[in-house]
Amino acid sequence: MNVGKILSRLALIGYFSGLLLAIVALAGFWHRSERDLDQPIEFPHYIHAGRLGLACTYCHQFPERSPHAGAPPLELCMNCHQTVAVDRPEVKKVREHYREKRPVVWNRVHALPGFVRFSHQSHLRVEIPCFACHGAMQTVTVARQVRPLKMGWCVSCHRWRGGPTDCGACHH
Amino acid sequence: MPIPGAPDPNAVAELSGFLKFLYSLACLIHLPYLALLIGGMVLSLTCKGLGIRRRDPLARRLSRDAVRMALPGGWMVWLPVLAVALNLEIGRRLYRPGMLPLPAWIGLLAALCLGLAMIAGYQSLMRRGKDSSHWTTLLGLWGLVLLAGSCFLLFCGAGQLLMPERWPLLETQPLRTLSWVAVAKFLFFFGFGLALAAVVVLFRRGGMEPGPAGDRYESYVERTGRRVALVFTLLFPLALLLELVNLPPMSLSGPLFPVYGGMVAVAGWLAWRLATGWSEKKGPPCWRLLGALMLVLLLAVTGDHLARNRILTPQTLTEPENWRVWAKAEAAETAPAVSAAKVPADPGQEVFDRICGICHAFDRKIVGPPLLEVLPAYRNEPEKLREFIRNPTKKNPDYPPMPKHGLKDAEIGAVADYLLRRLEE
Repeated sequence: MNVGKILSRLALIGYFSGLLLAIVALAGFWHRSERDLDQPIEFPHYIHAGRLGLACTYCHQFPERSPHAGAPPLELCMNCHQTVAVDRPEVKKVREHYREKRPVVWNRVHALPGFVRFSHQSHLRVEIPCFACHGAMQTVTVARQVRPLKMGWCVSCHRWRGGPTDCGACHH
Repeated sequence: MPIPGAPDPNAVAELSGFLKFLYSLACLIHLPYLALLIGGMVLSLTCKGLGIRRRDPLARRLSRDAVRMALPGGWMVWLPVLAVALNLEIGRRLYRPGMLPLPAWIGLLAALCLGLAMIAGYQSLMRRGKDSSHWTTLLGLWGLVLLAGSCFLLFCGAGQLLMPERWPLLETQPLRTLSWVAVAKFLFFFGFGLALAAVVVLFRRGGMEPGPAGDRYESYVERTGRRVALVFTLLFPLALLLELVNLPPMSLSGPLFPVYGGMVAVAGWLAWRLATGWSEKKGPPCWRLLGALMLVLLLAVTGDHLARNRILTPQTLTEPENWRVWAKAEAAETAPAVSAAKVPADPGQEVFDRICGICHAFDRKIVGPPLLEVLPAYRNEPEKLREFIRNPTKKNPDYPPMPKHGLKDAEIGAVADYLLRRLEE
């Protein structure tokens, strides 16, 4: 076999190995960037927001008056779970946290970079419904991000809805 | 917040596994067919151009044979149209995307049919030996452009299925249908189609009519087919990588990466076989080469299915319906009921909506009993009702005891008045 053939075969092996390595690297990158979405308590959104039809603002109390929607305080859960469904394993966890005065440390699902200032208040003021950014939460158990929350997506919606598109609207 | 008038999300979310299977099956029918058509046409037109320019009779003969070999005739020509129509209908039923209006899909199918008809015309003229006519070339070129354009739009649609967040915008911003995912999918499809057409030419070279050039022509076909197949087998994995990089992060999942890795590995094996060659006695391992290409396609369809399944969850699928309800409310210049409910005029109703309504409705059981069943006991005793709200006790063994909410006296008074007033209405 001549040198040219050996080199071309080596090049072929190198080319496809490189492509496979790139896919492995992408998989590793994805695995690292995929946030740990396991929550300390498996909160069933489909029961509370779906079957019971609670308004999102019953638990996330601040979106209408603050940039942040806020996670519900344990006292709010205990409004009902002092007596309701107390034998369920996940409710037992809530009660345990409440009894021990130990806050539940939820994993953040919708995280924006530090240079973006997002305000729930200003979006609710113009009546953007929650599902526009969060999807139909009344169908899921644990929350999952279903929108890219990237600048292109935000700007498309701002243009469509006639929202501000100057840089200072979101970047301070 | 749930939008009033929106359909029941659980009903909307019920997806049929059978329809999903049928969707992928339809893809497996029309994708290789359309890829072969496009690859065969590109091969034929390129050989035709080279043959005329270089006055190479072998290239001109291959341009005739390529179109004959790669393009099946008869009713089979319309098979991809049926499969594409089936795909579009299943996609519409399964995922309910308000992606493109019906006239756009009909236009797309019409363009596909017209492209196929032009290609059939080109094929017929080539068979009749009118390959040197400019009209034949023009017919073939336009047929190819229409077919490739329709396929590109179909890939744009497939790309949109992975981006449900764009669906509400498409009616006002149709250019958003374009995406890098669609470009990458089309490039893969184009490269795959040329590799497939070249392998089919290799496969069917034995059935060619013997010509004056004899063995020289057969070796020319083998050499050309092998080179074209090798070049595009080297190129289409790059398109796969481009697609993987551009897939929306929410559509990525653990099994998706091995699927893409598998496609690249199979392409690697294919390229190795094409590059290292084969003995003259045995000839090219055509069945294996074709099998490898079909495996790549099967993996591509599987990857597409995995990505769709990952992103199109009930959480995203109910959205277009909700958007429509919301848009209608805005068009009618009526504020959605959610905002109207924000400021109830009655402080008692405000407490009821905020606290009591979570567990109680007037006419049905939620967590607590229907209020129309329990309130009559307090009809003439408002103080007793206030006391119960202040310090609830277990009354009915069929329901859990009501928790103490720590309401202020004014709130208790207001909500008790509201409840008794509603009882009388």
